[in-house]
Amino acid sequence: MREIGIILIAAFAIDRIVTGMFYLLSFNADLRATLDPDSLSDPSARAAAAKLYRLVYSVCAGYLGIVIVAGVMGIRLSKIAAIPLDSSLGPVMGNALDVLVTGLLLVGGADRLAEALKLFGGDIKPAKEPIEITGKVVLEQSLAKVDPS
Amino acid sequence: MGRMNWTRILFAGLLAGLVIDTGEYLLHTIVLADDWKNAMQKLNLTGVQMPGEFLALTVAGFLLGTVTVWLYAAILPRYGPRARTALLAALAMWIPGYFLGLLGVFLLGILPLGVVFISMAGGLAELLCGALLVRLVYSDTSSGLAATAGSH
Repeated sequence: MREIGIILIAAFAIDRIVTGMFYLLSFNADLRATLDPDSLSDPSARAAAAKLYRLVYSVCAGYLGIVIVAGVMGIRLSKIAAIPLDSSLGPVMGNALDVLVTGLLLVGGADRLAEALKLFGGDIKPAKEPIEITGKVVLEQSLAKVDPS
Repeated sequence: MGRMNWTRILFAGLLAGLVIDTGEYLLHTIVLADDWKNAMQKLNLTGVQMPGEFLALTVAGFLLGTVTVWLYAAILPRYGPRARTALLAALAMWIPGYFLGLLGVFLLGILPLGVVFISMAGGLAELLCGALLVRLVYSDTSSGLAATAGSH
């Protein structure tokens, strides 16, 4: 239970730091479209911006998760869950995998927590997706009657 | 010729710096940890131990990322908003930043070939990934400029 608590707190802290930073930066007109996709009115542009936002979020959360939390602070999955590293992988691969999996867990946890916080906060906006119509359009041209006179 | 968007350059530079710093951390602190320790012992040095040194290297990563974005923004009107442009900017930064710098250190016998080669390859991978991210973030609002430059 303690292990889950540590991971949850770390993931929550990462999510709050990244979201808070993006919120402050979104006041800048040049960055608003990237950091606040909901501000866009065009549905297709909003969908593209949301995709980019997710990528930017993952890079920032990944840095905090891998370098700061797992690296500098030393909060690693193998330590908190008391899982011994696989010696067949060697010390380098074992450590690298440990840090990467911890970082992945923290980034994924931060992302899921952000979704959960939206649910609890009641800040649910209906998704506005572009309407797509598929089908065939047949154009018929009637022949004009030729006046014999 | 369009003007550079400095806010975007700094923001995209920060993101590229995050990619570079994450890669550098994994490479030098975990993958090459033992090699660095041996090399530092031979030179009678301690290596990166102080928080200030770690901070300085982190800032250096952000600086490298920002200069890469600046270069991408500068060559964008000539080469167009393609992935190739971003990769060219990354390569142009890698040659003086990693290749020539590490080559000199290797030729002087300061660092072994293994450390030098893996650092060069890792640096190239970091810069290429960072540059591809930069292209997405910087070109997001520069599409007007990009559209006019795309025909070159």
